[in-house]
Amino acid sequence: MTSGKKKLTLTSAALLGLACTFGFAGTIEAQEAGSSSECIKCHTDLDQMDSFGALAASSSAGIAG
Amino acid sequence: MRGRDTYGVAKDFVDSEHGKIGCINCHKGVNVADKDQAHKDMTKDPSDEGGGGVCAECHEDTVSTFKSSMHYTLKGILDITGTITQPHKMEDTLLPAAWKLDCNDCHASCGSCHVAWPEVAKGGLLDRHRFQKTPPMEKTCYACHGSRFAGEYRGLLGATADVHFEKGQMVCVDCHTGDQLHNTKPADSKRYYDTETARCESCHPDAAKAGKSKIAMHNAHPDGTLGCAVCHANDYFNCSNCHVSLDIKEAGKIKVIFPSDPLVTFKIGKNIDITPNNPYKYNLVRHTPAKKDSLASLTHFQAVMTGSPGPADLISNYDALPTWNSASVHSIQRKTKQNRSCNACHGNKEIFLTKSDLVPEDPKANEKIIFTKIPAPIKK
Repeated sequence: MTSGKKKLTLTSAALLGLACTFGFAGTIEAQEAGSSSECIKCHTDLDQMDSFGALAASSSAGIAG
Repeated sequence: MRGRDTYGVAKDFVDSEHGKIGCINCHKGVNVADKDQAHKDMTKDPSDEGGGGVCAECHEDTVSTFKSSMHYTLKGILDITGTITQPHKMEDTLLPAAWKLDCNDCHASCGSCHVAWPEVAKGGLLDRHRFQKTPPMEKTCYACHGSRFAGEYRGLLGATADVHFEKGQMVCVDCHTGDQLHNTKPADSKRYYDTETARCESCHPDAAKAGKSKIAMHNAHPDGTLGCAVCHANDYFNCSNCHVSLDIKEAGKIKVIFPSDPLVTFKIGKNIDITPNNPYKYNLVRHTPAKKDSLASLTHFQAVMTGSPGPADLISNYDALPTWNSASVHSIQRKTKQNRSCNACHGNKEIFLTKSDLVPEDPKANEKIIFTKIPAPIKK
């Protein structure tokens, strides 16, 4: 390998490393929120969730206390 | 209706610091649209495991002490149950199962104060999953401390409200700080043995110094004689009979009921739990809701479930502990019926716990709490 090619390879590798590092860091938050996108879609539908809640409340055992 | 706010999550929570973590990173489950598949292996309360669960990842300092705090360990109830059932082995009874089903409902996790109603109040989210830095006392503290403290503090049980509530508009954490609640000292101790519990003297340092007070009655009683509430509490609420029983009206429909009769009293007794933070010779005493057959329901269930009723006399060591115990009464007022004058208390046999207050079925340990001779009237 010529020294020119070596330099180009090293530079490419360094740039790729930087891109990976900062690229991932920037998307961690997005990934975490995104990792629960389906959960959020359902559970923030409050009307639907409250209908489940009312159903659960009316069917639970009553214990005085 | 309680229970409605059980599953719904506010959109602004999703954008909050905790919301950004993502549901499945705490609750597990799978991020798919199918409900059953999504909820597979889900954890309802990810904060419970080991006294902190996932919260420990960011709140390590708090969690490191909370796991040995009395709200997590329920050390007091555990000790009492262990003592009165000796020498039976827990594993020979349904006590461990009953503990999980009933007693343990009052055990607190991070989430059961800061996110959801406690289990004993049937759970449900406090405010659409928004985290509450200070737990709302009406929903969280009162869920477990509701039968006596909450009612007497607000004046709902036949006596005046506590002055700290009525005039001070104080909430539980104004006295019982987060540091105390998260950190029982020494670790794994119980209520009166905790050296960091709330003390009246913390806010009233001068009033309480016997011999150096501007108040003659304070000077008349040497340090360590009377708990503050002995002079400054109003009548308070007790539960007189057994704690848990069964209502079996129909086969297959058994209800656990709490049939204690209400009992409003004011009784001064001897303090047998003298500790650095509870140093008084005399305290107000409250009746503990227990009888010798309080756990009879477990014998019934054990017979039904296992074919063998287990120990016939489950509370075999009933005499070991009293059913009148030092109480932290929350009906405090500056002026009370017993501090009107010296002889409103001295010579007033109604306000002292004596043998006439006991019943034949009471445990022998109650004898240690009663006055055999009440203070004589003061002659002018």
